[in-house]
Parts: sequence; structure tokens; C-alpha cells
Amino acid sequence: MRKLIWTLVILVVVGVFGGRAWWLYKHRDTNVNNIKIGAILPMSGVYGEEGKDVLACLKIATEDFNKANPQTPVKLLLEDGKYTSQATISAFHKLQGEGVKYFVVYGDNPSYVLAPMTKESDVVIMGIAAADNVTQLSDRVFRAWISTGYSTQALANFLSNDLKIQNTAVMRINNNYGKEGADGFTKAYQKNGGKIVIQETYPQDVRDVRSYVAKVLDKNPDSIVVFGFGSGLASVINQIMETGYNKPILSETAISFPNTYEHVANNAAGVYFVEPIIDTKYPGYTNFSAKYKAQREKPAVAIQGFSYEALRLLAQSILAQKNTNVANVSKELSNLSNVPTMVGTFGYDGGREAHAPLAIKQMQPDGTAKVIKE
Amino acid sequence: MTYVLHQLIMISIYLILVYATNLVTGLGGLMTMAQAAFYGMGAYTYALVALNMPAGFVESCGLSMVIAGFVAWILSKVVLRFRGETFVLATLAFQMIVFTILDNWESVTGGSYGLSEIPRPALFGYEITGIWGYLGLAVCMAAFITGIVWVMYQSPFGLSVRAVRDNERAAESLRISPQKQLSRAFVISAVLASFAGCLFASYVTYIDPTSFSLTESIFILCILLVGGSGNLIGPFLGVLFMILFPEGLRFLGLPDESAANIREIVYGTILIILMYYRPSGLKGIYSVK
Repeated sequence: MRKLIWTLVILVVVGVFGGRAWWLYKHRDTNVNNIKIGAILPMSGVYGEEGKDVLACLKIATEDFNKANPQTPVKLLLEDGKYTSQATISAFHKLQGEGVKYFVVYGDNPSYVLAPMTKESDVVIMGIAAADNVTQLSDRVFRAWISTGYSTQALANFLSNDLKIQNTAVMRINNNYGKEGADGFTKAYQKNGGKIVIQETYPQDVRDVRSYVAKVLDKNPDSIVVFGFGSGLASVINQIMETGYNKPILSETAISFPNTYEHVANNAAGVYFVEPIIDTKYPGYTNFSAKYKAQREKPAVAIQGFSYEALRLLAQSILAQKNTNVANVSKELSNLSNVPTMVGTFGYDGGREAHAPLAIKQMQPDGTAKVIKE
Repeated sequence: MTYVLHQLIMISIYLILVYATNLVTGLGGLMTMAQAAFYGMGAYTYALVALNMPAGFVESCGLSMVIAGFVAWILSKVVLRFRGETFVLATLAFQMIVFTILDNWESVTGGSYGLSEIPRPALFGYEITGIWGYLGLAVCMAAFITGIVWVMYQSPFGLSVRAVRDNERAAESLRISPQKQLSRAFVISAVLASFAGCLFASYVTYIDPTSFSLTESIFILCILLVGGSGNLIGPFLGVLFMILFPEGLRFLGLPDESAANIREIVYGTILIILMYYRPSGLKGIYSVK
């Protein structure tokens, strides 16, 4: 009897999944005018919230594009990459099987994993990734964010030339984002004659970093530069402030992200950070900002602007090339130059690295950010 | 089609991993948390050799397996003094050490950047670049190792490892050395796991430490527990279920914002139900204690 029950259960499960797969196959999209863009985002796990933020931007961009181009709409197909190699590759193959040739991918690791596949599979990837050499792994990977090298150069110049501080400590999260940030900053800062008195690495998933902070403060640095994101970065800032440290603290754009700021609040006041600009006077900005806030219940920051523009520019390039040839679309993207966007004047200028303006900002007690230098 | 082929390749790789784990956990009765460490050691050794030396696929894999086997042999001198929870803790400690080394030894392993542009395997002068070629390699290797494992299970060695699991004292009285037999099982398990790592590295061509963390060790153990241990069919069913079921959940057509979270809940619930009603797994011999 038990065997019979289990057999029936298995048959029902197989039937449900098989039926669903058959239904999907019968209702698959055969409209050749559709522009299919795949989004491989982390929708679960540690980066789940960031993935959902990016998804909201991609959906708004899709909606806006389709309103303006009803004859050749974008169909956005989402898969959860979970920020792991296996799930990312699986998601990629699934979307490829559905005819997707153009992808928006969030994160350094997923971009690294998929870069070699672009060569074999004739696809284009817009990577919302900061890791410097992601675009060097393949000529079909375009960066839809600012590279770490570019942003840390700006930060290093500000610290040594504007604040006139010649020794600093560096604290970084122990992953490739933290490593690249610290390496890029160190190189640029030392080139300007600055000295790194200590570099301390803190683990990704640890929130009590007081021992690391104590080690850093023991060296009596004239400033501290912190590379990290989310509640980990917030913990570092909070625990530095607990000690009464009153010299400049610098960081990257992640300090202004709502999921960092909500954990650090007033303690972030005075922290300098480098961030791409959001042009609030850009025609589409108000509409985008309102829609994003309605969906995600928080204001849009630069990375959301980039996510929106990634899809918009990709879709426009595909449309310009009449969705025929991946190589031509790739060339079209690469030739983008001085394009007005909500993240400033944007372009790839013949390459695959995004060029957009940066600003040094300072967090204010009310949670806003004041532009110190552009 | 590439999606299906990718799943078949991952099933082949995980089959090797799980059969390797079954030697120690199923037959030997010792729950090891170090499988991902040997998996990672194999992947990284393969990648480092393939990237820096003029060595082919066979030589790179061979070296990875030898190194993993040697490390496992040394480790077995320590961890096999323990049984039960202490053995679990000891292997967990080793797993953490290996992960920390992979994540921090930047000059060799690339640290959290990982290693990229790992060359595809080349066998008898033929470079395997397409997914079909890779599927052929992975399936052939999985079938070959399944055969080896089947022979091992039936052999005097396999029977003596089972005897040690069932009653160590009784086995000793029959002049079976528990330490020796378990050590052999541990080493063979590590060698097979490292080979699975070589296949994985040569397939994805980019590896980073997060693929070989404690989470991966737990996942491998889950496959064994869900499918069942102690025989050949249980691990096979476990691999099919744990690889294909989460992928099948992608087709449910849930709302984008909540799909991932709902899938995780469904997946976890199914696992709990399964372990409640089938404590020995889908087709295992031994129950979870």
C-alpha cells in the first residue's frame, strides 16, 4: 500500500512538472519582433535584496522602452543566479534555450563565470559589475557600472590632493570586491605619495569587527578608507564611530545604498564617498524615480540609474541593428559615446568600459549626500 | 537543449562526488564534512597546473588526485582517531582550513577573485570545447567511476568497511583493522572527489572559493541522505532529485519578485517531508542516526 502511495505521489509530481513544461513549450514566444533580454540576478540569498532592486529598474526600463517602441517590444526574462557559479550557468543555459542572446548580469562573480561563455555562445552581456578585469575576459562583456579602478582613483586623488592627507588605513571586506577596491586605491594613493599604514581585511559574514577596528586604530591613521557594502560596511562604520574616532572616513558608493544606510544612519554623517552622478534634471529621471520608490519603497541611487540605463541602451542598440546580428549589436554598443542618460553623459567610446562622471560626496546628518567635488 | 545537457553534466560530476562520499559516510558510517575541501583541492590543483604548466588533462587530473590522496592520508591519521560527532567536527575543521587557504592565499589561488580562463580538456590531441563533447567526457567518467565503485562495494575491501561500520569490535576480532580500512576508504573518497573537482574546473573554466565552502559539503551530504547510502542506487536517486528538483521549480511560473524565496521554501519543505517519511533516504540501506 505504501509503495502504491509513493508511486502515485511520484507520478503526480512528474505529471505536474511534465505538464507545465509541455504548456510552456506550447505557449513559447515565437514572435520574432520581440527583443528578448535575459536578466540573471541574485534573487535569493545574501544578495537577494540587491537583485530585486536591479529587477525593479529593469522592469521600469522595459515598460518605458515598450511604450516608446510598441512594434518591437522587449521581453525581459528573469532567472535567479543565486550569486553562485552553478546556478548562474544553469540560468544562462535555460535562458539561452529560450532564444536569449542578450543578458544583463548583476555581480562580479556571475560576470566572471559567464564571460568565457560569451565567446562560445555568441551572446552579449551587460555586467553590472565593478571588478576591473571582467571586461578583459571577453570582447562581448560590457560594463554597466563604474570599474573599481576608475572610482578608487577618484577617491585616492581626493584624499591626497583635496584633504591633503598623506597616511591612511584601509579596511576591506574579504571578497573580490573588497580586494579590488583596496588594491586599486592603494596603487593610486601610493602613486600620489600617500602611505598605507595598515590594511585590514574583515570577513564577509561577521558583524562584530571591533578587534579589526582596534588593530587599525592602533596605528593612529590620519584617515580610514573602508571597502565593503550592506550591513557589514555599516558595522565597520558604526564600530569605528563608537571609539570616538574623529578623523576623515572614506568609502565607496555602497555607503549611500539604502540597505547600508538603514544600518548606519547618523553614524555615516561626515563620511566621504565616491559615487557616479544621478542627473536629477534628466527628462526621464522623475518618472523613473517615482516608479522605483513606489515599487521598492526607497529612493533610487546611482546603481539603480545604471541598471535602468543598461537595459535601455542595450535595447536601443538591438533595435538599431534590427535584432539581427549579435556582432553588430556589440559594435553598436561599443560605439556609444556622449549619450545623455540619467547617470550623466555616458559612453563606451569604442571599448567596453563605461565612462560616466563621478562625484565625491559627503553623507549629511539627515541622510542626504552633499556633493563636495565633481 | 544546452540547458538539459548542462544538467546532465552536473549530474555526472555530482554522481562522482556522492559515490566518493558514500564510501566514508555510507559504507564506513562516518559523516564527513570535508568532501568539498577535496573537491576544491582537485579543482584548484587542476586549474593551477593547466594554467601554468604544459600539462594535459590526464597529467593535471593525475597530479590533483595524487595530492588529494596524500593530504587525505595524512588527515586520516588524525581524524580517524575519532568517531561520531567528534569525527564530524574534525572534518569540519579541515573544511574550514582549506576554504580559508583558498580564499586568502591570493598569490597562488587568486583569493576571492578565483582563477579564470582555465583551459578546456584535451584528450589524445582532441580539445573538448563544445558542450556535447564535454557531456561525453563527463558521462563516460561517471560511468567508469560507477563501475569502479560497484566493484569496490562487492570486494573484500567493501565488505570489511561495512563490517567496521556494523561492529568495530567484531570486525577487529576477525582481524580486520578498522583504522586501516577506514583510512583506505577515506583516501579513495578524497581521490575521487578531487577528480570531480578537475571535471568541474575544466567545464566552467572559472573557479572561486565559494564553490567549495562548507555549504557545498552539506549539500553533498544532503544528496546522500535524501537518496540513501550504502548502495549504488540511493546516491544516484539522490543526485537526480537534488539537481533536477530545484531546476524543475524554475518552471513553476511564480511572480518574479517572490519566485526565488517561494522555491527555497518549497524545496526545504519537500526535504523535511522526505526525511520524515524516508529516514533511510529514497533507496538507502542505512538510516540517519
